[in-house]
Amino acid sequence: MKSLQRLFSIAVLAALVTGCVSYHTPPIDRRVTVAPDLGTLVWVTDVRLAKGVSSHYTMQANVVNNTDDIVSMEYRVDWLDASGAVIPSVVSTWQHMSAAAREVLPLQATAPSSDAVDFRFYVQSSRW
Amino acid sequence: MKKCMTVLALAALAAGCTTPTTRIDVRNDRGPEVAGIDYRNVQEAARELLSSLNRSGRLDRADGGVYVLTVGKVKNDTMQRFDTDTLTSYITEELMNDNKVMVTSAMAAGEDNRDEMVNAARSVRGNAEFNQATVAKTGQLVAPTHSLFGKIIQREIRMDNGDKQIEYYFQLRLTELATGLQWWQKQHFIGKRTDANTPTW
Repeated sequence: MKSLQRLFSIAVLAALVTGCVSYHTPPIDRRVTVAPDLGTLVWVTDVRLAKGVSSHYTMQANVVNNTDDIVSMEYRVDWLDASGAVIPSVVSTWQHMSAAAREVLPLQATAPSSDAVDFRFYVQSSRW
Repeated sequence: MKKCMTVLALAALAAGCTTPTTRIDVRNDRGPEVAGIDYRNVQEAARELLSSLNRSGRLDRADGGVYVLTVGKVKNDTMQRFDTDTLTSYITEELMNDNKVMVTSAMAAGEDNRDEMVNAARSVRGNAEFNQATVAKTGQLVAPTHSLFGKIIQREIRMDNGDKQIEYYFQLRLTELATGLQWWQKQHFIGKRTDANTPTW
């Protein structure tokens, strides 16, 4: 009975330890696409969408540089209306940015139209 | 005959050395940065200024109505010759698409932004050649409620190593015309560094 108790304790401890192990995996958000050329160099985390004082949505996301070097990238935000169609706009053009080593870079973009209800966030390596 | 051949050969050589004309792929432009202001800079400035204006909520009307906007003076205070409408038209186009404003063609700082036909259509009042029932009546023009104006500034700074630093400031402001109060303003900065001999004009 005592050995069974010990075995049970070990099993409980093992389960606890397994539960505490953190796997270094990128977060998944269907609104975010990180181009394969960036691999796991950067992650996009903490994606939010809110209106604030305006009738236009503003999205915010953190771009995390996982490397010890500066990473040059470009990002674009496409805004979608209620039917899922992209709203064409000058705000939806590629924009250059760079993140310092291990930097967490917060980015914001505001919808060009009050009709925008959703967005898609794209990140790719810089072409320059 | 010999001379003719030489001329032809030289012409062929010269033609081979010229850069062929290509179309800019505006969605994937891999062209190098230029010292002057190019379309990418204008688009970037328009994006930042428009986003700021939309984020401010200043043009949201509780009753769902729209404001009447006129384009005031946007001063080109750079060493380059370009029409500042390339910037403001991005902004006004998107504001109109979003049903936030109607832009008046009856009143604007720039002659090009005024439609001469507004006055021309009124000049035929009393002209028997025109059906007077179809001529614009007096008191129909709608005065603007707001004005968009600003400035694009260029500063050139000589760096310690002799190179040149070029700073561009894109400034826009929105005024409520009834009160003269400024409802919104935003400045967007674009900086470039280049060789001292690179011209920007």
